[in-house]
Order: sequence, then structure tokens, then C-alpha cells
Amino acid sequence: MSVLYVLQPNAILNKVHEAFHVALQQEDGTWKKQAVPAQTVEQVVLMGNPQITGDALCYALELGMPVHYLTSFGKYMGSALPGYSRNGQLRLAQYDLYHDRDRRLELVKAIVMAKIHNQHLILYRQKVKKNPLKQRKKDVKTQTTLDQVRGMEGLAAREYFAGLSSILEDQWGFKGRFRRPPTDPVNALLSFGYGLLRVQVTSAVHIAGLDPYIGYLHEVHHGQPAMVLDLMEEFRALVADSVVLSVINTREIQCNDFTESLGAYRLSDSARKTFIQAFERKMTDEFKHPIFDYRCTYRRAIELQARLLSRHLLEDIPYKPLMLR
Amino acid sequence: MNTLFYLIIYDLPDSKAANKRRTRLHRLLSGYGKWTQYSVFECFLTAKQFVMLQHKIERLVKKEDSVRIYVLDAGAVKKTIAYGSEKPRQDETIIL
Repeated sequence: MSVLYVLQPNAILNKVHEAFHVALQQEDGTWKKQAVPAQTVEQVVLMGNPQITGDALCYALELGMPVHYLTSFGKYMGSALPGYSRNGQLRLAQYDLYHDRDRRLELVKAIVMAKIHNQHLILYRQKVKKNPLKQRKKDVKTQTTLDQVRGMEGLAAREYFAGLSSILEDQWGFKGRFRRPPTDPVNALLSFGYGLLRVQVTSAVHIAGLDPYIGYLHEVHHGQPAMVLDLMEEFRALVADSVVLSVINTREIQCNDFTESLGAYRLSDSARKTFIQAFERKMTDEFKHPIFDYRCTYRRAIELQARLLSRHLLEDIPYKPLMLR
Repeated sequence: MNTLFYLIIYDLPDSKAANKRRTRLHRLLSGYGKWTQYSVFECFLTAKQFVMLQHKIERLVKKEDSVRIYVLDAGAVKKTIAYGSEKPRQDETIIL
């Protein structure tokens, strides 16, 4: 199963019988048609805004294939999702837990601890031995309210990004996490990575039949898909951050791949391709799952976590976030 | 998901009706795999996808046509020898 990315803004994706045809404009202005075996595609990600015909869109949904829209910066815009599970019971259970103070707190703690654990792991792999994250992880356990847990998470995040900035060379000018707009190349890469990750988590949440807008760690307000953001926390460091560090360390992406406009940094087209390739390499990387004890890819792991959470909601199986060693 | 390698080769006679069927078959197979030679497709499919494809092929072809499908496992694919073209490989990502 593969993922189809269309990066060219004036490409046209249409359907010819069972296959997709993508018309790409060449440098000399002519159009080249390329057939894509639609049946073996799992997801479509459209960046910039390539055209997709209604026919092709319906066919994708019929095959159970979500179509995600991203801006060329990698910011997540939205998705067209196939009519997956309409599991009413699960959603009721999801709302119940939202109002259940104690169980909710327990779940939020588990998520935050996993996040801090994974951040520690990334720093540890980069040989930042002295960092306070282990202590922060312990502290989370003793907190008694949601806001305190959130505060701990914020502190840990600040320390984590400080740790990252200490290992990146000065030329990158990374001083901490800044979003909207990313004020340096590394932040631009991070935002891009999180955008790509969010695509994966969104489809996992829909596959599991969860309501994306009811979350536990992230507050429910103005159309923020709190559940998606909650599930993402475990994977931010493991997937997106580690991809960013690896493309920087292997010099696949360098400082001159970026252009600045109005204080925001953006990637060049070729570097964007490189980054997506690195990201996909990561997503199809296999590791031994610590709970289920078999080899799985990160893409599969995200879906597993969403399913595990729905089992937690329905059958009270303890939710164990993904923590790697 | 476990996929197997399916090598699909077809030979349809040269008549007006068969030409039409050949084009249709080509477009059908384009949806499932890669067109590597004039009447050869290479597909990496799961069992379920293959059943769907098989069903569609069976509905399309007539008595005078010949379609052959070879099923190869990972070990056999690995031992493939290719001159002048790439060895079969499952695309994980398609970036256009």
C-alpha cells in the first residue's frame, strides 16, 4: 500500500476507469500524463492546490482512501474522508470520559508522560545526557489537576527545545519553538513535519471511529480537533522531530534550501520533496511494538494507538501510549 | 498488509472487438499495477485486491483471449533478473 503525494500546484488528478491519471505540467509547458495504480494507493495528499476531478474524488472515497489537503507550506487544511465507522457507542463513551474528572486526568497524565518520555529519548539519542526531562516525567505523576499537567507539559517542552537548540549548529539559528510564522528554518521544518504527521493521525482517528473534536488534553474549543492533537503528542518527538534532526544531520537539507518572506521561512520545492521522502522513510520504518510485541511500521502504530484508545473507552482496557526505549 | 507479486501477461487477437477489450484490459490493469512491457503488468496486491481484479478480468475476457497470471512470493521477486529496466519493486510513496 502506498501514499500518493501530488506537489505540483497545477497538476490535475483524474480517473480513467480503474486508474488515476495525473497530468503534470513540464518545464516546457507541455503536459505529461502519468498513470497511478489507484487500487494500491492508501492515501492521497495534495499539497499546494492541485486539481482533483469529482470523479476521482468519489472513486478515492469509494475505495476507502482519504484525500488530504495541505498548503505548500505543509499546513494542514482539511481532508475528504470516506464514510468510515459510525460507531455511536464509542462516541458516547468518548463524551463520558470527557466529563469523568478522575479517569480523564489519568489518561491525560499517561499521554503527557509518554510525550515527555519520547522527548527525553530523542535528546538521549542525540547525546544530551543532562536534561531535566526525566524529573519532569516523574513530576507529572503527582499533579492533581489538568491545568497542572498542562503546565508541566509546557515546561518540559521548553526544556526539550532548549536541549535541541544546544545540539544544532549556530548556522541554523534555532532558539526555541516558534510557530505562526516559523521564524527560522528549523521551525519551518518542524511545522512541516507536524503538518504531515497530523494527516496520518487524522485518518487514524477517523478509521477508529472517534470524534476528532472531543479531546482530553487539548481543550475543546473553536473547531480545534482536540482528539487528533492528543493522539499526536506521543508521535511528535518520535516521528516528526527525529525526521527533522536526521535530515539536518545527514545534510540532506541545508540552510540555503530556505527562502524568507515577511519573517516566515519556507522550503524550496526540491527540499520539500527530500523532506517528504525522509518522512515517508520514517513512517514505513519498522520497529518492535513494546506492547503488542510484533514488528510494525510507524504508520500502523498510529492506527493501533487510535484503536487502543477506542478499546480503552469501550472496554476499559488500560491505554498505554507508545513509549520507545 | 501482506502482498504478493502478480505478473500478468495478456495476448488478445487482432480484431475490432478484441482491440477494444485489450484497451479496456490495459486500463483495468493500470489501476492495479505497473505497465512494464507492451502486454505485461506487474502488480503487488493483497489477497483481497487480487480477488477483485481476478473477478473483473474474468468478466472482461472472452474465449479467444489469453491472459496468464504468475504469482510470485518475496523470495522469487528478489531473485528476478532484469536487463535494461528496473527490477520490480513496491512503491511505498509516489511523489509527483
